[in-house]
Amino acid sequence: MSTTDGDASGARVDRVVELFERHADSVFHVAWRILWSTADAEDVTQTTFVRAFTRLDQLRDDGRERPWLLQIAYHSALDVLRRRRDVPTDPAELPDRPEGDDTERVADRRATVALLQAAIDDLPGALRIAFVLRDVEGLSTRDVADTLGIGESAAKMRVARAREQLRLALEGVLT
Amino acid sequence: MRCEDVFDNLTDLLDGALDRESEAAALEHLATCERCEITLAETRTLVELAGDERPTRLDPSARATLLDRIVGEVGRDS
Repeated sequence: MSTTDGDASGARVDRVVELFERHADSVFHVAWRILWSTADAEDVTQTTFVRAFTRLDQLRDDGRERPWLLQIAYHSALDVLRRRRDVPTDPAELPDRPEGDDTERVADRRATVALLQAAIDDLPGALRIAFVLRDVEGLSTRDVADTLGIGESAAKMRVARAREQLRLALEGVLT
Repeated sequence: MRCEDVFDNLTDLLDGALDRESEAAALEHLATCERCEITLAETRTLVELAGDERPTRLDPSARATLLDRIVGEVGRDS
């Protein structure tokens, strides 16, 4: 390898490290919301950044780096689900959160957030991941659509339905 | 605009994605409809809370381990 090749390669590794420092929590969070397993979500996080490294040339717009990474994470997490089930996986069939992981409920803002987290956990898979991408991770509707591989109107509808289900679940707590 | 129209456009209204005419019509309805106003306020609070705190973060030691593994893997492949 020439020095120039080495420099280019080092720059690519540095770029992946930079992406990891900025977005590892988001990637891990999205994977965890799909898989409900810390170990699996960590594996998906690793896979995501390794795959990102091999596809760095596709990332031309720095403003799109997070939706781009989350798209890789989303598909990597679905791969894990497929391996678990050994069948094709539809996002509508994302697993429910396992029982016995109740969220502490105390009467302050933090507790309201905790209540919200529990309600998010109870959403159907397709709505849950759309809401998490849009309102927790802050992606635009277009980026949610791109990440999930669906149309923008479908993404908007899922977010709207998720918000309404959550609002009803937290009725009396939100005002 | 009626209650169901406001309801259908709630997400766009919150996201600032409604066209000017529809937004004006929605706001006009909201000024006189307490139920829709409460629904909008609750949904706005919900969205604010959702962005407030990401519940699941990487454990710091796991984070360091993962980064080491990733750098090891991509460094080997480059």
